[in-house]
Amino acid sequence: MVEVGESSESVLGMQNSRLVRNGSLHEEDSIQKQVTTFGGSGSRNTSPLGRIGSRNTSPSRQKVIKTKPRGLDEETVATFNKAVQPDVQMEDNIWAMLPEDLLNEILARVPPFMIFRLRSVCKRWNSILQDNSFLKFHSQVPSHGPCLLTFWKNSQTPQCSVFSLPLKQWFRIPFTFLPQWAFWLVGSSGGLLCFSGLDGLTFKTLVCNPLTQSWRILPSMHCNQQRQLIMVVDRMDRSFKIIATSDIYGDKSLPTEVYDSKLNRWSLHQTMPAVNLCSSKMAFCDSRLYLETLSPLGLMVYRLDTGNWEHIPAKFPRSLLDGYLLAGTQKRLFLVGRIGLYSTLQSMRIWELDHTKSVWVEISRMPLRYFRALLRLSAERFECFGQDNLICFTSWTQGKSLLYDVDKKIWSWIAGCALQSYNSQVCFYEPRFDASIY
Amino acid sequence: MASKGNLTLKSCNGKEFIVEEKVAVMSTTIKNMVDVDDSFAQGVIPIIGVDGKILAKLIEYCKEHAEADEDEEVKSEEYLKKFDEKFVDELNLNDLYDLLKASNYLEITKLLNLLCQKVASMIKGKKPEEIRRIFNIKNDFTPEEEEEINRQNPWAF
Repeated sequence: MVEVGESSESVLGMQNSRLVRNGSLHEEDSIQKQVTTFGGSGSRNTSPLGRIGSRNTSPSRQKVIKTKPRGLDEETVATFNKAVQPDVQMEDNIWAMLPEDLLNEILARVPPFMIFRLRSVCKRWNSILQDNSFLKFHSQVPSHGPCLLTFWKNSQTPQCSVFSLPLKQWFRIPFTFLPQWAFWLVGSSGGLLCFSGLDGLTFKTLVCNPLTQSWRILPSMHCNQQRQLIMVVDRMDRSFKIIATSDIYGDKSLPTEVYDSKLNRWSLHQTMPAVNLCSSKMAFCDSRLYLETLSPLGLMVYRLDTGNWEHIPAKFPRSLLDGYLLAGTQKRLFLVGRIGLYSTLQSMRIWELDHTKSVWVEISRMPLRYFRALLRLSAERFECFGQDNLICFTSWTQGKSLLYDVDKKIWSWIAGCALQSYNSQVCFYEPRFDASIY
Repeated sequence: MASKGNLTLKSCNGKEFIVEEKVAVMSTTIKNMVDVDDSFAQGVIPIIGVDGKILAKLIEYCKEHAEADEDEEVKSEEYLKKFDEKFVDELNLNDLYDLLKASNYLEITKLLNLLCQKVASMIKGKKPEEIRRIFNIKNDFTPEEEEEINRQNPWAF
């Protein structure tokens, strides 16, 4: 099935593109581990400026197109066949004798989104999510795997849907707890989500765990300004940090502020010694925050351990139109961007930073037909976010996202109506019951 | 005593299996027995509550994984993944249950993970009433309470 030099298109989530509502739902169970599980943390920053402009959202469903593109030779064939797994009869009465610790072991491996309906089995199962021994088991099993989380407001009501990549299925998350001011999805890390917004004239931030529906408003920052934020969860330490860099317009010098959940306060650090004109492009990996700057040209790096900024004079690739910095696993840092002024010559490329030489090295190109399908107009805006070695591209006119697995070099489409709202904000998300908001 | 020798495992119904030590010590329980008491290493290790059929299955699994641990080139991760898939798919429910309990008792962590994952994937799509039947759980909610839980649980579609 693998043929080098070709690539085939596949659509994820078509079968389940409807949002799940009350009533019946049948999972044609198909766990196909196409994507590795999450390790560390990743986060995505959002610029409030980036959401302006009208887009025509077409509700038409996408069709699976099978063509043979002239892709790069590093591509391989990707097929996401839905494995049909028959409903297994479990009539035998033996299961009733299962010891409690084994039952916990098993329930800890049920996908998080599916545990909820098991709560109405009996009183004991209903309280299982408050049960410490269950949570202990849950924290030890491999995580569910990557999901895409989309957040949008439908006439002031916050809406949230999650697409599970392992299950290839959409789930709706109740989000009624979210206060009105929470507007910008800052990002997600280790099972937590971070939001920011303006409550009157006050810039506020909150963290929540959508699975447990717990949330908390964080203390105020020292400087009341809209900031570029990024959240990082340290699962080993059971803590999280939020870094606030420059203000979103990039025209004021503000000290870097870092929130530490263990101290429950913001601390002041060095002001970034650069003019950051490339807003909404931050990435965090290996205890370092990276952002692009034009003066001095290159990357600014904020080291969380020392609290200091450093400059990496890595020149941007030539004729880069727009780009995003994305964190990969461990130290890997990617730059994803569009090249070329003229629409016919445009292409989307992925570079990786060579840390020793401080240069960007091209590692992949989006095959042209994917690029054409994603961005029909040359000036169309796209968004890009990553977690570990997965990169997701969205453009809201299309109502679908394109996923690239850097390790496997596989491109695949993700569809679903949750991606069609023009004001959706999207990030990768890893569902965890044990992610604490404190 | 030869530390790299073979061990004899005896099932509860009297079947004896001679296995390499590296295979047998995939089980933390057996490893602890051998480490603590040399006589186990030379004599016969009784595996209480596990019959010959299940013990043979356990050994089949451990053998494959012990060899892979020793020589990664011969048995790649991909090969093991395929082996694991086939291994659990071919089990009937009774064997799955017995293996689950045996791997828990013998502390064969990898196998326990694999089997729990399998059972989890089997129950995840089932309705509460089916789950109650399978695990013989009594519904201790009043209809009002059950409705209330479903109402509070927008996820419990």
